Amino acid sequence: MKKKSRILLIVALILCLTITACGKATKEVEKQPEVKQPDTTVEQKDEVVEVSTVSASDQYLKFDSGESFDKNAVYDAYEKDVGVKITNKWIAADDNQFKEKLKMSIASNDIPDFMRVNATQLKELTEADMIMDLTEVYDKNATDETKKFLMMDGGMQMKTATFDNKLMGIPSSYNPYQYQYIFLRTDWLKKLNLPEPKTMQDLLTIAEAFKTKDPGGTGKPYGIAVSKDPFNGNTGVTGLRAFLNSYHAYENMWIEDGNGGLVNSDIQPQVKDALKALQDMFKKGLIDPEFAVKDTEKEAELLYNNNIGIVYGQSWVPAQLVKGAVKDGKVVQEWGVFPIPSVDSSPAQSQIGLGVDEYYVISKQAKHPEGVIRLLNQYIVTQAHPTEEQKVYEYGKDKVEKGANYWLLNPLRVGRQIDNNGEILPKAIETKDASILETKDQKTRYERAMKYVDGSDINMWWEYLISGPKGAVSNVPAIQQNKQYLQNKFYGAPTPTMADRQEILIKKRDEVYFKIMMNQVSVDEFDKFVAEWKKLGGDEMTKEVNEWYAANK
Amino acid sequence: MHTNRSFARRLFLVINFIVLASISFLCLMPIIHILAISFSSGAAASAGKVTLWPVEFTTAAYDNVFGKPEYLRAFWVSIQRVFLGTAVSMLLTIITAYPLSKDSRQFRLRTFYAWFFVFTILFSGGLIPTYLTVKNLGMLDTIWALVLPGAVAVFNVILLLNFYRNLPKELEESSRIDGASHFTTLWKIYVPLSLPALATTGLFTMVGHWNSWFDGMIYMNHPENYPLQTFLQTVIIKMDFRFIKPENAELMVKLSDRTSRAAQIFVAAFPILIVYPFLQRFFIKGIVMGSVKE
Amino acid sequence: MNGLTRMWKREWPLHLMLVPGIALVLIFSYIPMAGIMMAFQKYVPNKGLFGSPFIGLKNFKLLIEYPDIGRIFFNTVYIALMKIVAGLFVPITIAILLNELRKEWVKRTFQTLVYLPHFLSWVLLSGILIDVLSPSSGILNQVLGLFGIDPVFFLGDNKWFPYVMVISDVWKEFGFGTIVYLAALTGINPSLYEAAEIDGAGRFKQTLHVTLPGMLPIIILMFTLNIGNVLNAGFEQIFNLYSPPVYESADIIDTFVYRMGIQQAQFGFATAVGLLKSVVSFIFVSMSYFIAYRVANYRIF
Repeated sequence: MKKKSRILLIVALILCLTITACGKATKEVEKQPEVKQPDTTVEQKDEVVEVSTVSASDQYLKFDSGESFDKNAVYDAYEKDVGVKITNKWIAADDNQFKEKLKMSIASNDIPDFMRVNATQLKELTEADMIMDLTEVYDKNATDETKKFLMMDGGMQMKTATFDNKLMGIPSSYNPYQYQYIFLRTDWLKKLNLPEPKTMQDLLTIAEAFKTKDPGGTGKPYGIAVSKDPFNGNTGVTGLRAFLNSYHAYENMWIEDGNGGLVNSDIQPQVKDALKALQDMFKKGLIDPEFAVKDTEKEAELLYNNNIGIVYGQSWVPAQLVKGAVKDGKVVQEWGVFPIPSVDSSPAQSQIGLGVDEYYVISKQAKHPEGVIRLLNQYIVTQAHPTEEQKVYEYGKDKVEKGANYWLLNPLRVGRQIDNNGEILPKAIETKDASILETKDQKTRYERAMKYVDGSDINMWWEYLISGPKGAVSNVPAIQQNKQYLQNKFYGAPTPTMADRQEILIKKRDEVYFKIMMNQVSVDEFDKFVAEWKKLGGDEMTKEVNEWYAANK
Repeated sequence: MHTNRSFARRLFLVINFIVLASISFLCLMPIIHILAISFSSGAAASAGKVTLWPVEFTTAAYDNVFGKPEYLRAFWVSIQRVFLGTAVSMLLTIITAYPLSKDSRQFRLRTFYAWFFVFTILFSGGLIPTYLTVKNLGMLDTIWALVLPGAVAVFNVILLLNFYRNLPKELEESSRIDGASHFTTLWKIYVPLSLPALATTGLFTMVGHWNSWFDGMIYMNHPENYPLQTFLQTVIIKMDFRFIKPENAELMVKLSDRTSRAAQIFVAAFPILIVYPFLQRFFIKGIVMGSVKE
Repeated sequence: MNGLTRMWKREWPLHLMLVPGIALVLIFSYIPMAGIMMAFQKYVPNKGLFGSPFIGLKNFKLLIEYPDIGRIFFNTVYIALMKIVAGLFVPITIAILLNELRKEWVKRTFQTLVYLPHFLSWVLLSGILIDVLSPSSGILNQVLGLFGIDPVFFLGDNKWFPYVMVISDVWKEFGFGTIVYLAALTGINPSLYEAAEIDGAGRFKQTLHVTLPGMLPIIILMFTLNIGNVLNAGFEQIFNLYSPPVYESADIIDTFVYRMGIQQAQFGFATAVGLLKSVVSFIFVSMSYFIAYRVANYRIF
């Protein structure tokens, strides 16, 4: 009898002991000195320095046998070529999990030597004095090539990482010149004998014809695809930003008021015109009446099923459209891509971002910040003009493309701020001339598009519609040349009022925009919204933004 | 009179059956729909063409999950977690609920202790301090991080103590008169007589352990240590459309959210679904009375 | 003195049994509760909980001064209360009805079927709900059409949205909720039924006078614990189904906190809202605890 009670007691005790024991065991392991790798390299400048980071894997990363995040060909190459040994504090299985874990690391003040953070975290870490001022380290250790690479956009992106003249992060840059286009069913245009859209009026006529004549034969046609989040962010597909742009209206952007100050685009009268037009379309049944509850994925059903033949989106939209356009190795829907038209005689300007939303920062505790900059230098070199030997950085030890996503192992990655895909790719694909291709990206895209051209993989239709002769990027040179784009004039950290009030301003805006669009209220509600916007902190925010603008012009 | 009542009774039984059958039907339909999606081609699923039967039958979504070497490893972590977690948690629940089920005359501080436990379901310090605690105990990357923080399931403790209370007092008294200790009474009388309640709390614990994925992500520093649900979160490519860069266009093509999400449900839920019908056998009526008569 | 020693002698095994539970709860619940301080701080990670500057009630002010705060509180409480009531009533009814089934295998089959939806995620279900409730092609509106009722845009209409949330949530969770009551039913003494039958009580009266009183302790317990959720209206569900046209009736505290979190990466605000919710839960739970104690001399836990 007594035995049982004793057993329970013992179990309880063991439980308590395990907790403490576990704690100790792991700590001891942590304290063990790192086993130094023997130095085998010859051409090394300095001794090998060690930097720690945190990494995200993804489900397509496939390691060669015997390799892992702890030891792999890419890390070995960095250690051998630039004398930097990379270790990971932790590894997340994908980018979403990376972001969650990163929040924990920052909040618990347990950050590695360097890591990739977003703009808000950059500001937070700067204020908390947890990261290093990189001005000097960067200046001393970055090569001329690196410096040039990160200034290709004229220095905008570097500026967004600079606080009080201190460089606090390396922008994880990419090309900001991503425009919105109209994608529409060219087979339907032919069927209904309609011209390609040159003006906004053309586009509205086409939308109406697609509705009334139902070229898809579904019995339930609409004019244009819209989803529940059409204004926020750069809604990639089924958005309405570009629609606003056609009316010279822009989504939540700070634009010049003509008197040397900045105003918020959300409350400008041009938006009212655009909303009026959307309301008219809704009344005519050109917009799916249920769009407000459907996300992109749901609304896209109507594209795949021939209910809708017009959609706005970025250059990569064909990658989504392909799900409905290609069936059993045959193209069953023909799509064309067109630049956004204007409602009047002045050309429409495409609203674009700054091309940077993440930064690499270095911890104040880091012993070898120069090592991080060396990683950056090397990455740019191996991306821009890799030697045969340096292909290891991209593909692993075999140096050939195996679809293993080895590039993911590069711990610090920056992208080109400007590309000439628009000039090169359509020409190369049209003339089947691979010799004019310059970058790795262009070569990949060319190969993919050629698979469609020679018929070996019809699914690559999407790449052809992006990069081909009449593809999306073929529109870029003209837009670039005529400067038909508009960037946010405010790129500072969120102002105090912005941090507290931006949420309610966007909520109120979405509410009223949607209600006007859905014809639940008159378009004049817009004026009431403008007054409310100003009262709810908009005026305060505008003041702060203008103070920033005066100081940073 | 008598026939009348039995007619009414029979009518009730028929109606009752029909009502419950229709409700079960309403619960089953979506499951069949999702099962059909999981066996359909990505194109048919994203075009919304699937209703209750697979369109363009394929097992691609399942191959995608099962084909990964990580799958078995994650499955194994989950099994370990469920067994260890349920064992520890049930043991704690059983011994914690017993003293609390006494009334205040028998155990003066019981109400204080009861509130001491209940307080923890109402107030929480949040994610970060909990994470720091687990980290400072050196439990990151160990199975204990998944097992111990939630080991005292206060809800289950309270549920069980209410069941304990319903047991006839005479049983305990006679056992105590025989000189048995509290531990023996708990083990010999309380535990066998509260089988339905133990099955219920056991099920809640197992389902809880099996389904949780967030702690796996936060506490595990290497994907090799992920439990199944955390791993499955990564199989579905979640894409924030706002942040798609042109370089990622290729990913868009691979993206077939619906079929893999649907398959995930079945891959993830099946093992735990079969536990319930099995546990139902412990829902024995009159178990308590049987023992008293004896 | 003598009394105390005797008490200790009698009660020490009971204390002992609580030791492991208390130890774990202290470590994993009470120690981290220091984090509640963040609600009053501008938390700076490298200064930690004890070094971060205090900012008083600023986080609470931000919440109280939020222009739509009244609406958001109303929506939260309205949806949550309906879910609590329906989430109590439906599982109890179903448990009793299941209990009336004669054949054991039929009962088990139904039991298992209604338990399935618990395992579906709202991400998946939202897609299904949009289809089922669609005013143009949804099956529900087609059925309503047979009765001459005009199509209703359930998910896009402020009049309907809260009820859709309640009904779909109850549908998803009632089967799982039934389990507890089924377990409670097993504890009812069968001789009570026999006695009632001898008194001439029909099945309905038996249910009223034997079954329900037998389940009462568990029902009260479940009610008490659920009432603590009066400010939890179900984030996953609403977040996946709401949209700007129904913000008016759908925006709840948790969705608001989520949207704020995107704008500012401050832990303080979320902690402050969490603390407020905890305090409200605490008040409701202790109220029902003490009412039960005063009125019925019954301790819920």
